[in-house]
Amino acid sequence: MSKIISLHSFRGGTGKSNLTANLAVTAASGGRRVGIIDTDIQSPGVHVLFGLNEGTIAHSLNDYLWGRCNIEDTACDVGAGKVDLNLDGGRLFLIPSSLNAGDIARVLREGYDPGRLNDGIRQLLSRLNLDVLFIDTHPGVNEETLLSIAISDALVIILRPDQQDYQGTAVTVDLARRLEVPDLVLVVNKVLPLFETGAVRDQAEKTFGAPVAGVLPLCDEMVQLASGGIFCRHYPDHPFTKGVQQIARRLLG
Amino acid sequence: MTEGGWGLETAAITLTLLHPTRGTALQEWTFRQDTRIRIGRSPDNDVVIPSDVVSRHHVELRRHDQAWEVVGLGSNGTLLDGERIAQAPLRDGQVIGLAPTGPTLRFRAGTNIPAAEQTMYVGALPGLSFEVDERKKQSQLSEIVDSDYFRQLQQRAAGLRARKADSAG
Repeated sequence: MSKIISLHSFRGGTGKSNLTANLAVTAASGGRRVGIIDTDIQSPGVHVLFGLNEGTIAHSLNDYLWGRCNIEDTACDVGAGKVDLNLDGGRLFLIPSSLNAGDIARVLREGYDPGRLNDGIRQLLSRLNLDVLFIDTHPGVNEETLLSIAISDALVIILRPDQQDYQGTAVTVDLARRLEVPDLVLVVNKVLPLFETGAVRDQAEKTFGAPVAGVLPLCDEMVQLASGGIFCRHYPDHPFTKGVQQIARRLLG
Repeated sequence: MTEGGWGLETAAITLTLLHPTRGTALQEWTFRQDTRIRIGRSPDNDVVIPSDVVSRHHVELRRHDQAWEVVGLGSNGTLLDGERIAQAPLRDGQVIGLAPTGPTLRFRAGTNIPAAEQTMYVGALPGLSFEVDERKKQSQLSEIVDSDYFRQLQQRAAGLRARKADSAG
């Protein structure tokens, strides 16, 4: 049975899109059919990691939401022909948001119908025959992120060990509990080497009352690569990569 | 204090734990009379760095007269200015890496060593205490959960997930 997994953070800058892309590649390399939908329509980002730009995106999620095309028309087969992604029989599709400034302005001005997003997600699962769909959500809490959380089988809440992330994370955990998300996990990202992983995990689990699926390090290699590719493929033995694999196993078995 | 003592100033060194991306100081240790400084994850080291990629006893700095050398002990590997080493002379300004992807320490010897002894924290470190204001959380929550949209979503959530399962077969 297919699985919907939302990745969310209360604030921007937590590394959410980067983790989404790396988790998706890790999941697909197990032979799965995987999708990523970028519902961060106001500030899309995940496409960059797969080398897509405005010229290479034929149809975006915006086009679907405005009734210009079917949802499956927006899916870019980002795994096709990419030897370096090493998907080993898996497939990876990305449903990007529009990078066009006018389209982004229109979404900010008019919003969109969350119900149509919900329909599109369900159609995607069946028409692309997906095993897993990752939803890269917009930071903060609005109607669309709440909908994403409500329809998800699993929710990954990403936070940094930073005071400005804690309050919002606690609120999001509570909302997800009320929406009865079957599987709720935290990921603590950008952790300095001053802290022991186990101590960070214990503290976070105690504070937020949710299991921590991974504690990922802040590292120079990530800054160097920036958005130039999929970190797990460039640094297969790095602690970050091992952490991502651990999170994937926790979510997908 | 040993300032103005019998030439010990020249033996003083500092080790600075560097921020992994900014290269700024996170924590600093100063040593004045030691001839052996042990670095690792275990609490019995002189410099304790609780990172998972750091071995319990990872590296040792040894002084021979005025010269220092670095000796790798752990199985995770030690780097000096990015090059993997087992044992090497250590000069002012060099950076010791604990494991290829691990924390880095800058070694300073001789002049410009601060007066403070032992551990000193530099600037504001991010705290490890995850603090949440419960009252503020309740008021933030009530704004959302009392809305019609949220109530409807709550009622529909289980159905939305179930229908998704059906349609995907």
